[in-house]
Amino acid sequence: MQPGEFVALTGPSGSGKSTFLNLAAFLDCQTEGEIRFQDQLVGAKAERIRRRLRRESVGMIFQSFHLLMRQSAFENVLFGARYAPSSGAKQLRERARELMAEFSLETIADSPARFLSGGEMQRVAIARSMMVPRELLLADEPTGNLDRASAEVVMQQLVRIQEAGVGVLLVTHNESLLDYSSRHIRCDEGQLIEAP
Amino acid sequence: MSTLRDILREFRTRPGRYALGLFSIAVGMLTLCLLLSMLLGLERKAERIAEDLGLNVIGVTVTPNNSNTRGLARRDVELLRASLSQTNCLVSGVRFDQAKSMDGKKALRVLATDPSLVAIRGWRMRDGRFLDSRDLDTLASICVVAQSKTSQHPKEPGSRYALTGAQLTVAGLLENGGESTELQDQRLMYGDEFLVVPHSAEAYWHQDGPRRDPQSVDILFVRDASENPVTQTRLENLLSGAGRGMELGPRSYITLGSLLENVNAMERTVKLTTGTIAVFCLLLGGVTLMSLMLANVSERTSEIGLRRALGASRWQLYLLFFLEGVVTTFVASLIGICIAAWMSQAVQDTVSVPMAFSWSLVWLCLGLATLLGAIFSLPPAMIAAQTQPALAMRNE
Repeated sequence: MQPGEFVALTGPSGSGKSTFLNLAAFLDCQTEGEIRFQDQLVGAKAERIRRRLRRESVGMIFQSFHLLMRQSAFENVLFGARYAPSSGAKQLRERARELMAEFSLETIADSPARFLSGGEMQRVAIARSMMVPRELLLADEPTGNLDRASAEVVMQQLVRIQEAGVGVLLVTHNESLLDYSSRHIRCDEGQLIEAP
Repeated sequence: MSTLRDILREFRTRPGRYALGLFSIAVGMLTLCLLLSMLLGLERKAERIAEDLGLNVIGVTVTPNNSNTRGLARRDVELLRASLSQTNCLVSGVRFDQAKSMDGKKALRVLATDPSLVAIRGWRMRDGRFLDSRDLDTLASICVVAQSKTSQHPKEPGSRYALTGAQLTVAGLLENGGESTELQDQRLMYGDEFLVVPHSAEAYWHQDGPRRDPQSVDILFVRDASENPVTQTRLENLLSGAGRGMELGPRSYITLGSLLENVNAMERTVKLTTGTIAVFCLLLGGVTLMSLMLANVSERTSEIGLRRALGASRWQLYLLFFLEGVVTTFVASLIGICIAAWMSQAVQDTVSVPMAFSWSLVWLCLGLATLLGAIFSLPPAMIAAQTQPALAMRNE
C-alpha cells in the first residue's frame, strides 16, 4: 500500500481477511514471511516495535465498534489517545472536541455509548482511531452492522480521512463499497489477488 | 495517574458489582480488626494489671486451716525483711479493717501498714506525704486518704477524717489509689475510697465489732527491683522456716502471672475462635475479590483487546488489573476499619469486653489488606496481561 491510498479487501468468509488485518494491525504475529511498514522490517518477536506502531501509526475500526459502553461518547473518543505518546490532558481534550465536531458528534458527546445508534457508534469509533495522527487506518467491515444511510455517512468519513493523507484498508463483503476505493484486492484461500 | 483514573472510572461505571465486593472484603476486615482490637484491649488490660500490682511484686496470704497453724503476723514481715536485707527487696504487711464514717453511711476499707507499701505498690502521692517510721513509733492518729477523682467531698492534708470511734488527721492524698478495677482480686481491690493508717496505731473504730490482734497481717507484699527478683519458691522456703513453734498455714501467692491467668485464658480463647473466623473471613474476602476480578477480566476481554490495539503493553494491563484489586481491597479495608473502630468503642461502652484501637492496629490491618489484595489480584491480572489481542478483539 502506498501512503494515502484507499484499498478495499474483499473475499469469502474464512479466506483469511481478518487474519491479514490482524497482521497488518500488528495484533497478531506472522508465522512466516515478513511485514514491512514504512521500509521498516517488523519481526514477529519485535513486540516493542509492534506496540509503538499500534500506538502511533496504525489505527483500527471494527464491525462491532469495541466501544466502552458505559462511558460517554466523548470519553470513548478521548480513550483513543490513552496509550499515545504523552500530550497534555488539555490538548487531548481539545483534540477530542475537534474530532467530535468533525464527525458531527457534539450533540451526543455526553451520552453513554450504549445508548447510541449503530451509525453514531461507528463514527465515535472512527473519531477514536483518529485521536492520534495515523499513517494507516484499518477498517474491518465498518458498515457491516449499519443501515444504508449510516453506512454512507461512515464511508464519507473514511474518504475524508484518506484525502487527508491517511492510507485506508477497508475489509468488506459489500461490493457496493468498492467504488470508494482506488484499489481492490481479493483474498482467496490465503492468497491476495489484485482485482481489476 | 492514568491507571488510577481508569480504575476510578471503572468503579463509577459498575457500582453494584464493586459494592458487593467491597462489602464482603469489608466484613472480613471488620472481623479481623475486632479480633485485633480485642487482643490489644486484653494486652492493655494486662499492662494495667501489671501497673496496678507493681512490677516484680508478690503478695502472700495465709489461711490457717486448723489449730496447729497460724496466720501471718507482724513478726513474719520483720523476719522476711531481715532475711532479704542483702537484696533490693522491699517488704510490707497489710491488715485490712472495715470502718464506718461518723454518720454511719459510708463503709470504708482501712489498710493498716508500714511506710514501704507506697513504694511496693507504686502509688503516687497527689498531695502531702505517705506514712513514715515516726508515725509507727508515735502511734500517730493519722491517715493517708485515697479518693477517686469524682469524690464529692475531697480531703486535703491537715483536715480531719471522722470515723465512728476515731478522728484521724489526713497526712496525704494518694493519686488514683482507689480507682483501679483491673485487678479483680478481692485482696487487692479497696474501693473508690480507702484509708491507709500506721499498723501500730490502735484500731479505735473497732469499738462495735470484734477487735483484731494489732500484730496480725492479712497480706504480705514483697517487691524486688533486682534483675533476678525473689521468686515465689524462695519466699515459700523463707516462710516455711518462720514457724517458731507454730507453723504458718497454707500460703497462696498473688503474682502477676496468677492475676493474668484469666486475661491469658481469654486471650487464648479469642485467638483461637475469633482468629479462625477472621482467617476464614479474610480468605472469603480474598476469594470474593478474585472472583470479582476474574469476572471483570472475562467481561472486559474486548476492552483488553482494544487497549492492546491502542498500544498498551502487557505490563500496563497487568498493572491496571492488579492495582484495581489492591485499590478495591484497600477501600474495603478502610470501610471495615472505620466500622470496627466505631464498634469496638460501642462494645466497650456497653459490654465489659476490653477493646482498644490504635494507629498501629490501623496500619497493620491496612498492610494485611494490601497484601491480601496483592495476592488475590495476581492471577486475574496475569490472565489479563496474557490475553492475545487478536483473540480478544474477536470477543464480543
